[in-house]
Formats: sequence, C-alpha cells, structure tokens
Amino acid sequence: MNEILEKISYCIERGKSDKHAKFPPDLKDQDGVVEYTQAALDNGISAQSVLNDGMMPGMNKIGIRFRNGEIYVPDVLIAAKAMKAGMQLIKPFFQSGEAKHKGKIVLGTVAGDLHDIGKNLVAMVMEGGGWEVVDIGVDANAQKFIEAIENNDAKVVGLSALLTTTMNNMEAITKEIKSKFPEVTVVIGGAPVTEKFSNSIGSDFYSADPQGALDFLNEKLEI
Amino acid sequence: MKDQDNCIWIGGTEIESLHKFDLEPSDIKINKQFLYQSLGYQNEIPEPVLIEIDKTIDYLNALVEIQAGFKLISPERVKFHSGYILIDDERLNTKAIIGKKLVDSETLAIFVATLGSRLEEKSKKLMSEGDLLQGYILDAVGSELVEQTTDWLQLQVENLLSENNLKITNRYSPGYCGWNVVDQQIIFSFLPKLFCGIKLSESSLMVPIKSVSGVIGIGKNVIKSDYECSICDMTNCSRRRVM
Ligand code: B12
Repeated sequence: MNEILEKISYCIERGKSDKHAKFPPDLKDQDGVVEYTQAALDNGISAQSVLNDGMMPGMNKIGIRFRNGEIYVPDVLIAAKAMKAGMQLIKPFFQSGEAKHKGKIVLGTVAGDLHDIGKNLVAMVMEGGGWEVVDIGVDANAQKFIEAIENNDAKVVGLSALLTTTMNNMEAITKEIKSKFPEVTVVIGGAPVTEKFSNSIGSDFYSADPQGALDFLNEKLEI
Repeated sequence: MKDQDNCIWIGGTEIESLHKFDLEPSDIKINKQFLYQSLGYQNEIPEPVLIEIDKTIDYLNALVEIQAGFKLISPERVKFHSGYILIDDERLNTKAIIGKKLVDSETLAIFVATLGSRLEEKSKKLMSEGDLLQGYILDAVGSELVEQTTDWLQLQVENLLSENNLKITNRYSPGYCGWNVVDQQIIFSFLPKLFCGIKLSESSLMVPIKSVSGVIGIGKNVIKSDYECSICDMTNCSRRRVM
C-alpha cells in the first residue's frame, strides 16, 4: 500500500487529527490525517482512494478493536474525529461526483423512543466505512422511514431502540418497510435487542455493535 | 436542598407521605471511578477523555436541575408475594429475582429522580455539531450523576426510617432483572402528576431521559447490601459495578 495512505490509516487509528493536535503525546508536532490527506491529493492520489485505502482501513481497525473489547466508545470517537478532519478535504470530490459512497443508509430511533447516542455511534461507524448516512432522528414511525427510503433511494435501513417496549415497535416498522421495499435491507440494534428477536420480526440482521453491521453490509452487498 | 413535605413516619404506625427535594449539583458528588468504569476503562484512560471529563464536570452545574422524591405507601395497602407485589388492587410483576429481595418488606417507598432536560439537549447539540466525544462524555456524566442522585435519595429514605427503627432494602427498578419496564405505568399512578417534572410516555419512557424510577422495600427485618449487580443477569453491562 502507498506509504501516505498507510500514514492516513495509522493517524486515524491513533486519533492524530493534525500537526497541532497534542494527542497522542508520542506524535506531538508530527503530521496528522489532515496533512497526509493533503499530501495524498497533491501526489495525485484520488479522493476515492484516500477514503477507501487510507481512511476506511484505519476506521475498520478501530471498529474491530472496539468489538473485541480492546478499546471503548471514547477511543472510537477520538479516531472518528481525526477522520472527520481529513474528510473535510475530500468532501468536494463527493459533491462533484468524482468520489462515491457505497450507498445510502437511513438510520433512526424507532417510534416511542428518544435515545440517540447509540444510533449516532452507528452513523459514525457507517460513515467511517464509506456509507452515506441519512439520519432521520428519534421517535421515527414507519411513515418517516418509508419517506426517507423513497427520497434518498436508500438500500439499507438501520433501526435503533433502547427499551423493550420500543423494541417491540421495530416489528411493525420492519414489516411495513419490507412490504413496500422487499429489496431494502433492514438491520436492527440497541441494548435490549437480540438475534432471536431480530429473526422473529423478519429483519435481515442484528448486531450488538456497529462494526458487525458494517461488516455484514459490506459482505452482503459485496462491497 | 429541602424536603418539601416534612410529614414523617411515626413509630411504626403508617403515615402516607410524599417527600420532594430540589438539589444543587454541589449536593451530589460524581464518583469518577464509576464514571471511568461506565465508559469501559479499568486502568489507562486516554488524556483527551480525562480532560473532557474534568471540563464537563466543571460546566455541568448550568445544565442540570436535579429533582428527586419518594412516596411512602401505607403498609396495609401493600402485599408482598415472591414474584409480585400488590398495592391496593394494582399488581407489580417484579418477577422472582426482585420479588425475593422484597418479600420480607412491610411496605414500599416509590421513588423517582431526574436531572431535567437541559443536559440531554446540550449533548444532542454537541453531537449533531460533530463534537462527538464531548457530547458522549456529557451524556455519560449525566447518567452517573442521576445514579448518584438516586444513591443520595435512597440515603434520605434510610435516614428517615432509621429514626423509627425501620430498615430498607436495595432499590429496584422496572426494566431490570425480568421486571417489565411497562410496570412504570403503575408506579407513576401512585405519584402526583408530573412529580419532579417527569412525564411517563405511552411506551414507558420517562422524559427527561436522564431519569430513574423504582421502589425500595421497608421493614424491620429487611437487608440492604452494598452493591447488587451480582443478581443481574446482564453480565456484559458497561455499568456493572465491579467491587
Ligand atoms: C446509562 C443507562 C441509563 C441512564 C441513562 C440512559 C440514557 N440513555 O441516557 C439512566 C440511569 C438515566 C437510565 C435509566 C433507565 N434505564 Co437504563 N441503562 C443504561 C445503560 C447502563 C447504558 C445505556 C447507554 O447509554 N449505553 C451507551 C450507548 C452508546 O449504547 P447503546 O445505545 O446500547 O448503543 C450501542 C449498541 O446497542 C449498538 N446499537 C444501538 N442502536 C443500534 C442500531 C443498529 C442498527 C446497530 C447495528 C447497532 C446499534 O451500537 C451502540 C454502540 O455500541 C443500559 C445497559 C447497557 N449496558 O446497555 C441500561 C438500559 C438501557 N436501561 C434500562 C432501563 C430499564 C432503564 C429504566 C427504565 C430504569 C428505571 N425504571 O428507571 C430507566 C429509563 C429512563 C427513561 N428515560 O425512561 C434497560 C432497558 C431495557 C428494558 N428492560 O427495557 C437497559 C438495557 C438495562 C437492562 N435492564 O438491561 N439508564
């Protein structure tokens, strides 16, 4: 792999956003994601490659370490922030159509529930994995999900819930989405959700952590 | 802080009473060790996380409006069974794990505690603006603060009753250890409307989010242990207190 891309990946993993960032202490005064991203673009590396071969591998390593319990949510957020800093530089290429996301995911917390931290983390990991996220917020009913799928031509929907009561609302929402858009993939998650529940309501996948859902989507949709 | 109702429990004879407290953030101390644990950390904590935690604790005061309270129910209204409790004709299906812990009680205190909504609004705002770490830490500090508030409230119940030689159990909340979260509807039906400013939704979600509800058993022969995470079957819970 190109050395600059490797540096981008490494800096994301270490949470080193730019030269002035004091964290991590052992990389003080050294270049970070921002500088290496700029260097990559200056060297003729495409924005798509910066994302796919520099940023995504870094975030992927973070996601796996989180799933293995080696690091925790704040560490993931520090890495995501470093990635975001670099993303600012490649954003224009997405707007011009030169670089592309893997697809769109509609994400929301289901009707009756107002918890959004878990959903926000899923959004962040999906973005780090190259997906474009359409976040429809909290207390979202079937109608809201369906409109968002239609308006964005989304291939995937993610549902989140934190209470057993609101988890039950996932069933009707999933069924309605599936009856309107049988080809749309539904993934669900949140503290009370289990694989058994997911199977019983006809959703395509359950994951306890965002990385698991990302891996599933990458595999299922062969990306 | 003030107890807005100074009605007390007199020498074993029941007096139903409602107790409500408005607390200053300085009344409640955040246990940083528990906070680190709830974030997942056991030993080494990255510096940005430590800095963010200290910063958050410093500006927390402006973001919380702590209210807590409890209602003591007359013993003759309450009947304890191993898997459920009857208050008048209303049945709280605590299920076996919690039921067993409460069965020797003579009556109950029903409690709630909340931080108000400002903290969660601020956390949401930070996250939507891209300040993920700051938003997340603020949320976690809030969760710890409301837990500590509930510890404080439990102590008030304990102190009030100890004057009358009564003891308390640990506190138990619907949604834990097999006790369905919907039973909050019954719990709230025994409290004044919007007690402590908390609204219970149809889906049994309390608004503000940073709120806790539950019951505490009261009696001459009941036991309270230091931490009871060991009775819960959610062994991978990030908030499991490891002592
Ligand atoms: C902190 C906490 C609290 C705090 C703050 C709550 C808050 N959210 O702000 C306080 C103390 C206030 C609290 C209160 C209550 N709580 Co509470 N609480 C928790 C705890 C310990 C952590 C929640 C949390 O913030 N996690 C961090 C976030 C980031 O995790 P997350 O939302 O789960 O998201 C992650 C995954 O689930 C996943 N994910 C989430 N969504 C999605 C979607 C997709 C598509 C995918 C792939 C993945 C995914 O990815 C995220 C990152 O890994 C959990 C137990 C636990 N360990 O999960 C209980 C828990 C959520 N609480 C529970 C309960 C019951 C309650 C109360 C009802 C108790 C009571 N009677 O007072 C109240 C309800 C409050 C209310 N407003 O109604 C239950 C809910 C289940 C149920 N029985 O209904 C839990 C699960 C504990 C249990 N018993 O097992 N709680």
